[in-house]
Amino acid sequence: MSRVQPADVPGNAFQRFMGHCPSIVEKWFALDESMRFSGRLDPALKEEVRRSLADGLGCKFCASLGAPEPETHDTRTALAVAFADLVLRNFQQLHTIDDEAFAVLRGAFDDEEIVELTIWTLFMIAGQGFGALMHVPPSTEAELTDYISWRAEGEAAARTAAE
Amino acid sequence: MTQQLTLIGFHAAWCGACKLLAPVLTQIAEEDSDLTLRKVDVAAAPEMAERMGVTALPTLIVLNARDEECHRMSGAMTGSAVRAALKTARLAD
Repeated sequence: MSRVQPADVPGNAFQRFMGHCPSIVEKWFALDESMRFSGRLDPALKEEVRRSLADGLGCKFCASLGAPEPETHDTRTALAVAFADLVLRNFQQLHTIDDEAFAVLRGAFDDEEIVELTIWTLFMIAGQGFGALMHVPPSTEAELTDYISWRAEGEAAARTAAE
Repeated sequence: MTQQLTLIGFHAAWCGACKLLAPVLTQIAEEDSDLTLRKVDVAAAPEMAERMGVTALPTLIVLNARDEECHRMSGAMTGSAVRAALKTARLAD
């Protein structure tokens, strides 16, 4: 059972739950869109990080938007997903994450990318943590279709901007 | 002198978490002269992984001086967690 009733605002279930705070939800999703479709990291890598965190956090809505696809991972994606998992599992002791792990990351990412990955991971933990805490239900078919279209448009725009 | 332990670390080339952990394990082994580290690539030794019941990567298995398993952990982990597991294994024996 969900913890609060969804607000009577447009958007998917997640946006309606967060919609009780309209000034926050607007900025939250603007930041989400900005981080997903800009920056140095491939949007597909960031989506895979999001997917890998969703199950671990217990956000049913987030997990319903797509399962991780480990068989498709290249080295950078495998490392990014592993780093996100390491952060999630050690969330109460983030300072204990080893220098050696960051040294491995530096073999595949530059400093700007490591910061972007860290910010994205923590933003996803916050957002998907909200979904888990509020018991936001899994997406409907229409919500999933909208999400897939939104991602496709954003990723296409990101690719165009990068060319 | 502390009790001799063996730490078997199962890993694979495709495993990102194994890559993040590998230098951490090397560092721990360098710090601990009473620890023997064995890194096992599951692709090269699948029968050993199966025999030892490895179902996730990375998996670490701690063996005591009698080669008895005394601790097991798997998934993404920090050096602090591994050091704590080794300490626990020594205290338990």
